[in-house]
Amino acid sequence: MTRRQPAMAISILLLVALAVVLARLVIGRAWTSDGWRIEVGMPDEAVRGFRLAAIAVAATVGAALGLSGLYLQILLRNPLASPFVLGLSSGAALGLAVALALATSLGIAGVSGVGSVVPAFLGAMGALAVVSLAGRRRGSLDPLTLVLAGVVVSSLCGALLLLVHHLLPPGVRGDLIAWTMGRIDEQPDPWLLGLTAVGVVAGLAFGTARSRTLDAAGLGDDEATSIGVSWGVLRAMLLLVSGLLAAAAVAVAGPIGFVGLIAPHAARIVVGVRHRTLVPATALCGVILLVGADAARQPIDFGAGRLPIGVLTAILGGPAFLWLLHRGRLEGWS
Amino acid sequence: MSETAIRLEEVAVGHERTIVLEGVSGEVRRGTILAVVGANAAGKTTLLRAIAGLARPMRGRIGVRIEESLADPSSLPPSRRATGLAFLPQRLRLPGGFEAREIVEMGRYALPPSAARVEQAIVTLDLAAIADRPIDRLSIGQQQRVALARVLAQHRPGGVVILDEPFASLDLRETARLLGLLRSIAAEGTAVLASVHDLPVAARLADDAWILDGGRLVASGGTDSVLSRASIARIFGESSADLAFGR
Repeated sequence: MTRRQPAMAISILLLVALAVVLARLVIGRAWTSDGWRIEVGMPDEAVRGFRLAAIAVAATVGAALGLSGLYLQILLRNPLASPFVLGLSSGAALGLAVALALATSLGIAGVSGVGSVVPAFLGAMGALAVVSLAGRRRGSLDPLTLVLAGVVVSSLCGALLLLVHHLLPPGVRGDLIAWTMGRIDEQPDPWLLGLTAVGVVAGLAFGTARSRTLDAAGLGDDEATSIGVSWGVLRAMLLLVSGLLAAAAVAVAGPIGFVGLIAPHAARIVVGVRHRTLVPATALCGVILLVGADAARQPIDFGAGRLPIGVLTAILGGPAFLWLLHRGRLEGWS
Repeated sequence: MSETAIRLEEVAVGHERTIVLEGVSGEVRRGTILAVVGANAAGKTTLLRAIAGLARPMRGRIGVRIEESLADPSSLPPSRRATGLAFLPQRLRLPGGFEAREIVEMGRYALPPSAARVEQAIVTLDLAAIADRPIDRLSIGQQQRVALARVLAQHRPGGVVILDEPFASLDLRETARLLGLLRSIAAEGTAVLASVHDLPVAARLADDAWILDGGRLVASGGTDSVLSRASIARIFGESSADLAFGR
């Protein structure tokens, strides 16, 4: 791989991001007497507001998932790492499911708005706390033990989620199933979305400010430490930043897979492995992937409404990642 | 140049219930080269990692002259330790995608940037022709030289350089080059520690030698006596001495 022109590569990504934003803005569905119809064109002001809100949600969540995946891959030195590996998504889903079950048993109509995202956030952070404690060896975070702890926590949360599904009344169960398939809301909670956007900006600032350290972290533990990298501090920061970003993304849009996995690899292909450009490029790739997927799913309806975003990202992301693996395009991992 | 650069007092290192190193004491003076010799699993890597501050001793004390006085290296922040102690691990893990020159530049991570030092290290290790190539496209021997150049760019004259199997993967020409390089580094007042498998290379390289066996220091002193045929035969057996020195 040769050294890319960073400014040009970032410019190309920005143009692609603008293109997918435009596509999401002009592609939509309208209800007619014959049922739902696909429309392409600039919508009226009211509809435009909804679509712009959906774009803001997808862009913010995509960037958050991309950055979270990048930092987890650095932390675990594992190209297959993503927010799902650490069980954050299933922790968040479990948090919401438990809240729904409690609300139902107390006779409360439902859990919505901030009420729906707080338990998701707490669930994700709870899973992160358990993984952080179980992922330690000899007093410090161990990448392999972290992965194994993530798998175990994810399985446990998944099993408990099924139990809650089983216990919930059928009417309530539907809301939970819809959320666990991913949701790009056209009327998002502004406070939660704003908080997530602040997290994305903070995540970008962290990665660009510490880009030299993230580059050096690619050396082995001993070698990185011997040149002056404080691995313990860096690990804790990577875990905190990636965990918070993933939790916020899941709280806003449900557990959406593969964006956190694919975005960092796509960015490495475009801009190379240097974190000064890789960090913003990863956020842009996350934006492109999720806004693009949201635009692509608008016309896809099998008779039960638009295809859930989480289903589409899994359908597209899985084969894309296999292609990357097959082509040996996991840049930066020797 | 007789100032102590490294001092070990009854050092024991291990992990969980396994003791890898026990009761190791000794000193390394500034401006000298110490070869650490021993069979596989004798504890050489553990010893070097402990002196480099990467493994904390269970018992005993280690002092390394990072700045003016001897200090416990494992208690120093990595950024401070890196200013006076450069370390080459046995197993290299170099991040793919970066050019060889960028890996060498990483040696200056905790130090003021110095293009001159980086270029000097690249030229000294004969890497100029491949400095702009991605590290993962280089041979194992070339990667080893890049890692050595990184150490060279980091090291401070008068400081400490610790190399775990630096001659592994190097051909004869590069081995001879590295021998000369380490001698010149020592001549600047730097204390050099290197684990070496090849006894003739160790004898040519070092002023002093330590022999580890089963995690214990079984011989130490000048290379002439410690790496003599009689000494090797006594510690490792006649067949090993025959192999090293010829019958």
